[in-house]
Amino acid sequence: MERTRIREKGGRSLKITAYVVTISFVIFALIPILWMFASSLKTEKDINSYPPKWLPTIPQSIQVTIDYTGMDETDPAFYEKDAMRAMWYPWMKNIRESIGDVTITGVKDGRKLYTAETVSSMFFVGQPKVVPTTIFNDKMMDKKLPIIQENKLSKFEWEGDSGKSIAVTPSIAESDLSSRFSAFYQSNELIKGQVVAISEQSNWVRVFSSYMALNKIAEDTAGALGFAQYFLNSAIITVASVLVQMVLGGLAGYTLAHLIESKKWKFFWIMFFLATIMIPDISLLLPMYLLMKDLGLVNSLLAVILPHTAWGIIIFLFKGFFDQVSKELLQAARVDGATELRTFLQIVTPLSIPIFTTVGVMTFIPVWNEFLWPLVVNSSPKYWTFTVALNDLQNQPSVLQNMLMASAFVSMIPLLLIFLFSQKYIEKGVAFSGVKG
Amino acid sequence: MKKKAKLMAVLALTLVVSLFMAACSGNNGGNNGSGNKPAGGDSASAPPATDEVVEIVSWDMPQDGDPAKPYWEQVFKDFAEKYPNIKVEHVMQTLTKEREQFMTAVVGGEQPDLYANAFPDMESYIDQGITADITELWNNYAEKDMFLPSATQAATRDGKIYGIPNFMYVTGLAYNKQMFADAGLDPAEALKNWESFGEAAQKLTDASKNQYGYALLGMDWADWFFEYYVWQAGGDLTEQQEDGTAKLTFTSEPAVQALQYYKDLKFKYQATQKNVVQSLDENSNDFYQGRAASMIAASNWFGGMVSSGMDIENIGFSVLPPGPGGTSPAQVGGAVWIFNPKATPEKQQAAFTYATYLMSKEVQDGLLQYQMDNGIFPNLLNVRSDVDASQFVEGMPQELIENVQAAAGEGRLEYFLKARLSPYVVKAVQEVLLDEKADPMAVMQKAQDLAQREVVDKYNQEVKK
Amino acid sequence: MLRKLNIRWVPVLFLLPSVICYVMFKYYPLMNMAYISFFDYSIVNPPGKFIGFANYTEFLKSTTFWQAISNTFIFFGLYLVLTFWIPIVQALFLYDIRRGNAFFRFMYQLPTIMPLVGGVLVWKWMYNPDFGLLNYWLDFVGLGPYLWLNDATMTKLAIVLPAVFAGNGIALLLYYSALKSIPTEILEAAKMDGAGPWRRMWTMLLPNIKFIIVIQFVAFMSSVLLAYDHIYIMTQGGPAGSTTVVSMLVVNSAFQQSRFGISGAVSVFMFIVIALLTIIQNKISAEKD
Repeated sequence: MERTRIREKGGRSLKITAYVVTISFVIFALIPILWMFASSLKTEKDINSYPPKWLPTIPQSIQVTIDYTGMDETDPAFYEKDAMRAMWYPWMKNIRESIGDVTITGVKDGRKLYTAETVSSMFFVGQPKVVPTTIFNDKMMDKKLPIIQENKLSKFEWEGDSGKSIAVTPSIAESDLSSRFSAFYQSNELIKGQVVAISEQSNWVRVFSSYMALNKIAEDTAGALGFAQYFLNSAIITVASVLVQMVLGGLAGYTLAHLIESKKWKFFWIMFFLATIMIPDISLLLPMYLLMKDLGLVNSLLAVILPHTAWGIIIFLFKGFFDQVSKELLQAARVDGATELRTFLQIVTPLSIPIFTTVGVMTFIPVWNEFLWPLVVNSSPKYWTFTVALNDLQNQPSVLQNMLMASAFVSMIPLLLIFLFSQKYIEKGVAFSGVKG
Repeated sequence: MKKKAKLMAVLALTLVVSLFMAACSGNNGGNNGSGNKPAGGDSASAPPATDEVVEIVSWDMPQDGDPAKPYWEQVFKDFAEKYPNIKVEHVMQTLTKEREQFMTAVVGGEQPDLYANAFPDMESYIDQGITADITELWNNYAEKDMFLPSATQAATRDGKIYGIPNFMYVTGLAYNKQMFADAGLDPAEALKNWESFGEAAQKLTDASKNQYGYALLGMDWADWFFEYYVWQAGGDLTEQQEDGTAKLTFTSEPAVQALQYYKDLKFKYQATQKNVVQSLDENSNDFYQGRAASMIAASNWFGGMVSSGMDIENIGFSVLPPGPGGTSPAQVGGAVWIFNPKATPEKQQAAFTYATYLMSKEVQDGLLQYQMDNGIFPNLLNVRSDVDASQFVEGMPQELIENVQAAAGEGRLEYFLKARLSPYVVKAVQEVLLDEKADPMAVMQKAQDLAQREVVDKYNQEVKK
Repeated sequence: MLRKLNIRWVPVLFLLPSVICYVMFKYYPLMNMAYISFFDYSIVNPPGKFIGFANYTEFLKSTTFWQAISNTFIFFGLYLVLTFWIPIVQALFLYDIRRGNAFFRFMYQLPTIMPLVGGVLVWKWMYNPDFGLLNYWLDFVGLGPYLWLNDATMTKLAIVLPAVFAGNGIALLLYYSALKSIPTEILEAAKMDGAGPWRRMWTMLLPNIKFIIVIQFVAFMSSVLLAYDHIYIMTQGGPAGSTTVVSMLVVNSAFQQSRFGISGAVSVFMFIVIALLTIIQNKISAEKD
């Protein structure tokens, strides 16, 4: 079969053209998406760099060794604060640089005292609270340490007297970042120990820190409800809307296509449904809100679902496809004594699975992405949808542009899954038997 | 057949009915807003008992990421203890589509009893009666004289008071000291007047280093900063006449000179970013990253600058270079607590008590103390004259504080009727910025004619009635 | 007799749920909106003062409105010429692709789910005249630099361009479904008659999806004439009003100026214009059949 097609005159040229056209369209479509993904991995500095670059600067891991030899203090908290200062303060001063993580090793009398680590995702999540500005003072860490501990922003492992012995060679790496850190430690007396060594190396794993940070922020801000709740709300709203549209729209579309004989009435009903797509949604915002208030539905999932029961284009689409089903086929079923509902369910519906799937996908996306109406009608976070919550998240002060891009990218995943799931039903196309007529 | 049709009718009806049943049952779910209503109605009809609890709604819950949120939560708790008969429901407003959220609430009869509203909107909200007249409450308020006159002015109309000042800022020119030094420029010299600034900004522009002199605001809010230049040239965009009517002065010499200067910055000195219609956020980003050497900034933005990695020692702040008018008034802006005009007097009283608690010296000082303890940068200007932000700053250059307060000394509100005229001014500014050949005078004349016909004539007619 | 009754009742029952929903959630709010368009609407004491057609005469006299109308129809033309045909062409060629069909179809749908805010921001970066990707690339082929959003003559194009890149994955699916439902017998028959593949595309495939093109055109028309979100995020209607469209006036007059009466009046006007266009278009395509 395939072979005969290709051998046919013009078959090859059509095939080649088809692939060339399709591949070029796909490439065009992918450019902005790839740019979005690339941006989600970049630092703010990378995003505005010229010439534009696709690959992010590889983040640097910085290791600092601090020597406490000669210090009498035995309280681990004292050292923990010192380690936090040594990580958070110079990092804040260099917030625009591409830093992947900072590790501090505290040593005393040739033994390891503690190790501490902060990774970039945690730094960016905690920065507005821990180091809101570049102004630091001695006492500040007393207030900040509980925040760091509570949110698990930095790791701190105390080894105390049992620490292994460790050899330290004093050395400061020559690179730009290391010397910036070194300069910070020298410029003030905030760090109690003696900074003896700074080294650094590239750590490409940290390019994904915007995603990690986003995950952490989402966990923190969703509070008791959690993103699971918003996700569930969105799922309920979307599935209910899609189902109602398929049932009501399918029935009405079938009626318009096959059950109304009079041309005049047909036109009237088509326009009755279709006219509703010609109103700017935004101008219905107030009347709709008042209606929901009268129905007592403000702050409920139904307030979001119900308006989706009236989408003019859906009925019009169903009608268009059902028009293609041959009248003879239906007539045959009727003669066999099937009711209209049975004819619809047993003859038309199975033939139309691709249409139902396409319409389902087509309604799923806008319902899922709807923002203004759910926000206005449901002010209580209990009823927020995923999209509303995501928008709220994107407005957090700690969300940088790369995290915004990451969040945009992540938010595509549920819809991607829907597409993947729907593919085989779209493919299932059983041709309507008989030509239009 | 008939039987079946009937069955289907029943089925369909069941569907419809169950849909509405579901609709009604959803009602019981969580409609807190309207649940309050009957209680309010009762208290209105019954004589108010002293120990009765008054419930009010205030849209004042800080965002989750707000570093000062713990402080405000403590304040809310303290208030609940001190005033057990006022119960405040704190609502968090999401940061997008704020107007849509607020307006639908107002139309739906659910206007919050307390809402922080920006200065420029006050004019039209007072016109529409969205803001309750609290003159009486205000006059009985012992600390009313503690508020800066320029802040109360925004909430005053014909001697009546429509709100309590919430916060205030003053604008000026923020510049990157390092970049000025690198270009061999002395800020004092460079900021002397329009011409010296234009030349300095030109020097600061270097495409090879991806940097430019002055981040100009040409987007949708262009009139916000443009008005300053009109002031510097010694004029204004509008005049409010004795009888309350408005007179447009777009074509006055100062306004046209200001527009010419904008044009010069873009084309003659070539000292601005190429993307003049970029957003304020993008401008700020350019400044933080050392791409832009200067931009207009407000006194409460330093926190954002330093939290984006700028060194506070590196930020200069000054009044804008004076123009041909020889003056350079700074603009003051901010927000006002407004009250629900439809709330019962008890609720208004309760909301007023609550708002004054938030604005008390104790709470405002407490905020500054909290900010200082936590290394958060404060707004250097407070609406209360007895709250001195500079007492609570550590590690900030004294010069910066002094310059902010100097700027506040000559504070001025935005141009009259801005809320309605903004589109006309913005359009004129953009036309000149985008087209090298545009003639500022002609553009302004066109904008003025249009605004006169479409806005001002109608407005004046209404005022005269 | 019985049968006649049946035919009368079944359509009513099938339509009834939809009719109820449409009346409640579209026509009732629409009537309310039309009602307030005759008032100087007061949001504190609704509906305020009755002013007859004054809202209508006010916007019809304003130059901003006519500029917005002209922008809106220029956008319509641009979208029509630059984007409407894309999914049709994509679907026709996709129909002829066996290997990788599902993969390509999936790729086509990706831009559809790109979130609006993130998607527009990416394009704003690509357009940036200082560091944008587009000028950088165009420089290689000797074009530009262009000012994109900073050039009032280019802004409209800059708004439409993302849609050219993205195509329309949903429309593609609809066309593709329609192509798939064409009975293979008639294609085989055409083949027997000696119609080559290119000719079959023009004479068999395209005419058989005409019905869906007509439907899509109606949907396209209303969505373009009422477009708001992506234009607003990209330019806020600027610069110099070059991208201000009618739906932006609807939003601004309502939520910026709290003049809901005017906002309602403009909406009613747009409703009537689009409805008329749709009726005309329906009549034309019906006559051609």
